[in-house]
Amino acid sequence: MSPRRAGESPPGGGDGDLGGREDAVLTARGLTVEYGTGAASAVAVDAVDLDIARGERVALVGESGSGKSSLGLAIAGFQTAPTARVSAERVVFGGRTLDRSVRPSAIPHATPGMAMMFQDAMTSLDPVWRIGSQLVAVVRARGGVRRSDAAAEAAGWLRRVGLDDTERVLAARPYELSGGMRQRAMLAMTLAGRPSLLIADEPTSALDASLAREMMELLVASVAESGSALLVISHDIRLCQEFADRVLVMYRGRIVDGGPAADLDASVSHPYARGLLRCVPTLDSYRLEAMPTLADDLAARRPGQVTGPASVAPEPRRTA
Amino acid sequence: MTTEASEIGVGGTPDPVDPGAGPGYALLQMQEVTRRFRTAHGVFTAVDRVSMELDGGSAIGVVGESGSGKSTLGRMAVGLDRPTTGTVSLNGRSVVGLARSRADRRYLRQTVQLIGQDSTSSFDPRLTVRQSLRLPLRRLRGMSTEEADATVDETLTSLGLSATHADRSPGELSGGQRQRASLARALVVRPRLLVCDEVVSALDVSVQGEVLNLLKEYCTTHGAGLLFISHGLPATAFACRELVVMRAGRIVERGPTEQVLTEPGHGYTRQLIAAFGGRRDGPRP
Repeated sequence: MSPRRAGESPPGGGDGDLGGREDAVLTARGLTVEYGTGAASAVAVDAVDLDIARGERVALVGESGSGKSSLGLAIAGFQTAPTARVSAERVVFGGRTLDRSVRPSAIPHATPGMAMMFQDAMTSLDPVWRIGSQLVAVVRARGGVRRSDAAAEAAGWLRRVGLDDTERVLAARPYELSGGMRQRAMLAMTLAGRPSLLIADEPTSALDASLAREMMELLVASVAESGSALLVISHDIRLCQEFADRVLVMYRGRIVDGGPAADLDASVSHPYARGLLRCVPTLDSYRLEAMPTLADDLAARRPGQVTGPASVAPEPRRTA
Repeated sequence: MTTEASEIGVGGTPDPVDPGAGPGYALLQMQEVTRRFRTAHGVFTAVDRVSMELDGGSAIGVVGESGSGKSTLGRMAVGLDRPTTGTVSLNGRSVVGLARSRADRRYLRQTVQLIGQDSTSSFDPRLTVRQSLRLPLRRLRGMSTEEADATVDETLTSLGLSATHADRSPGELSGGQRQRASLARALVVRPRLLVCDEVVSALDVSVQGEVLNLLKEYCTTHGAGLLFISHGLPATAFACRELVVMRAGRIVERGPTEQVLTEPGHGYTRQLIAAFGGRRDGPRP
């Protein structure tokens, strides 16, 4: 299965805004996530506007601490940290306005039609439940599915994600599966909820390169088959460029740049986004004397105007 | 980007000739090394008859997927694991033997340092970064606390961290900062051989470049050898002139980086290259 050409992607523009299109499955305006209170508070997501069209594949890339995961969790309604505060002008999903403010209860409420998968299946799957029980629970949560039908459907979902040894996988606990198999099982679980928007937070980061590509292909094929929209959150801008329709670059809590994946190199203008594209090691960069780094890039382009996140841009080197 | 040697913070002057280095011996030599583990399902061969030689100033990259035996190989190179059969030697002295006595362990740790992927577990969570870095400087390089502190500050600064980071506990640093601190912990010892096991895999791309440049620079300045273990082919190719491709414990292909990337001989190598999007510009004349 080959990724959809960028020409077929909905026109995006430089930011996450589709201009409130009618075919948007998700529309978020002024979404803000803050952690902590008073002097110790930090704004992780700063008034972000985001639209995702039906069936569209959007990638949200950025470095650690850029706020991309906080944004994903806020959209999914999974922000439950007692110190977190989520506010928004509006979040509309499938025609319904959602309240994303953090409730004091520890358990997040599921949003029908929205599913989220995470980087590490080992910590996001329940370690003591068998895969089968967890999968059946998701299928039955949709309502009106009999237990016997749910079990058969669960096996079907496993086959969909390439886990053909369904008997064994259904009876296995997460630790009895390999990393790649666990990740597939989690994908099966998210698909089983029949989402119209699947949010995948670093779905491939815990996997080997060859498995990562396979996983991404599978993810894209699965959402294409089900007609679901996909929001992939990742730090791998090149991988996203290959598999998404639109790539958005997040930096210090804001979506600073973005555009159709195919001509991202030509269309991005923000120095951070350009730097990010430049410093990815590729199989051709081994001939370089030194690997380009983001700090250099930012320093060269806009001295004094833009600085990297504290954890990324080292202080200028002493020259004497 | 070029950085002067003094900025690396681990001393700009080349080290005196290693007193333990005998003539005619490679810095690291592995001969027919095999490591088997007993598991619930029988015996598992993690490393299967691997031989390689690494001299000071050169770098070998070991690539392969999870479970291919690369990390076990790295652990055996630093004496954290013993081969079931075969020998691993540093400057002609068996690593297993060196790990046995206290005096020899000191030599072993001065000579070779391992940097792992998980920087959280490479620090004592109760100590500040400064305390963790002081230890090897005092024990292995015989520095006073003041000298050690000055070296710590200098090294951290060269790695893009500051003195304020030094006085935090490892848990208070971000992943990227902690990995740079863990790099500093290994480099302050001024080892002759660096074994890096997935050092950049957990880092953001921009920090990856920084760390790779610093590693390369350290090895050039100090004539140190580098065993770079990673599943990330582009980073490995950048760091090393020579590549070793491992699968299921065996070396399936080895050779100069350029040759392995342009004319991969093994199907698995081709698969690995494709997994990283292949070569954009193809081979160059």
